Amino acid sequence: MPAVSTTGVDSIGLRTASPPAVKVSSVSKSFADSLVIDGINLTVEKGEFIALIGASGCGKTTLLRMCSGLEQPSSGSIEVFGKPPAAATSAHEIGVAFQRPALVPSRTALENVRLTLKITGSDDAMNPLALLTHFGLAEALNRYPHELSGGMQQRVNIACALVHQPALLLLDEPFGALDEITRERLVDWLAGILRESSRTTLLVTHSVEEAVTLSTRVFVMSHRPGRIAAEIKVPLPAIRDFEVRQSEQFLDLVRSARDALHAAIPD
Amino acid sequence: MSSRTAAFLFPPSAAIVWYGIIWIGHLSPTVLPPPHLVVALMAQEWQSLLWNTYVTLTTAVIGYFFANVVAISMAVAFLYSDALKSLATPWVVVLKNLPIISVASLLIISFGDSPVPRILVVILICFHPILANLIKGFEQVDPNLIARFQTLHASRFQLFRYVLWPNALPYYAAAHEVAFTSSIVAAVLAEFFFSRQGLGFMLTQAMNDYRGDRLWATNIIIAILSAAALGLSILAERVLIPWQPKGNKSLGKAGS
Repeated sequence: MPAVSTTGVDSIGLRTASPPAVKVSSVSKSFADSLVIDGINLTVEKGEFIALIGASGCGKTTLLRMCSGLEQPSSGSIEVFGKPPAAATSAHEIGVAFQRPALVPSRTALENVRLTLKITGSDDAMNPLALLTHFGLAEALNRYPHELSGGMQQRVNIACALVHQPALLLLDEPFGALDEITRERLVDWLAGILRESSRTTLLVTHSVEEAVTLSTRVFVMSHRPGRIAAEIKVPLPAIRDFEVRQSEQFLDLVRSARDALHAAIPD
Repeated sequence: MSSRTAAFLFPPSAAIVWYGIIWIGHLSPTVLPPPHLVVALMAQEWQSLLWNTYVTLTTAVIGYFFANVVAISMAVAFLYSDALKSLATPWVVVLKNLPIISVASLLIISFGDSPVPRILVVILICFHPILANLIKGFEQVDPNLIARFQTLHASRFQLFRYVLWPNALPYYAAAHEVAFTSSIVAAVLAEFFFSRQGLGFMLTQAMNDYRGDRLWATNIIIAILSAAALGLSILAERVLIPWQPKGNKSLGKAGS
């Protein structure tokens, strides 16, 4: 992955700071008098892979939904590439994959991916056929979602999130509903897919290993109300194969993330 | 045994039971005419039977068409206007629960001897299962799917065309199994009360004349029409909704 500069040169030659991919400024969110998220500040630079970990119900999904414009903060502000999230969605800069695959049941795998392109009207986007083939779904192109296994559905779902080349990818526990072995394989697979691009990714997960395997930084969220309790940098090599994941450095990172998670969640 | 074999076995077994009842009860042909007399009558009066079948089918199909138009318009309007849904609900509940015979008598007073009241009876009987199933189909959309389309900045029309309508289609198709069959019954019922033609009218005439054979012949035709309507609905469901999971055919039944 090439080093991504956060500064650019504008038309009159002055160096200007380009906006970060995501800027969350003192965001709080309440649902019916219950405070779910309390004053979160978070900046994601372009090209980063951020993992958000925390216990179920800590508000990490809510934070992700606010970044995609599906929910509004009760206070504070969120900017995606310097704009409100709604403006980023209308510019088709965001791709989202949820825990449960959100596929149109009446359309085949290939048609689902094509439909995403049609709605976004992206010209410079990827070829859906090539993308699904690259995802190992060459045999399943013309199957309906109910004819696909859970792992295949999730790969189609992620293909739908990627096909229009969004600059920001939001993944909400995309492997949470899958069995252990399928999940491990898909994590490897996703790491390979995303290494090839310089896309900014925000991943919500409750798996510490998954977070450390995929991300460049891990944020640990506390429970009710959700705050950022800790930040862990992951200075591992870009390719995190089996060997890297057996290394002392990897295991130390997992251990410190797990400690931070335990510290963040009172008994 | 496959359901197809069972369906083929039904007509001969019905005839055997029919003869059996006559034999056991020593029934005279005026009380229960045997099948061969009924078949003979059908052969003899086929022109009149065919014409009246045509009349009934026309009423049923026209009424059914408008029942679909009404139900689809209402379901879509309710989808986008909660106020309209709240306002219309008492109307729907009252119309659905009024005894159809009492409504039929009101209609004949207002519209007289014309096809209009008969078509209205068909609409009244058929629109509700379609409406109920469509509403359910729109409501049962995966909220994640809607959320994903919102993050793609899909327009309301795109959301309807690509997500809501396809999701409601299996429910809509399932409604036809109930409603299309009902349209035949509704048309016969309407003719039974006020008509000078159609299968329902034939029933009243045959009753007045104590013609058991004609009564039975008409009933057999009505049964065949209803079975054909059901078969057509199931066939249309299979052809039009290939993505429906197998063994989940009755997914959309919201009842009538």
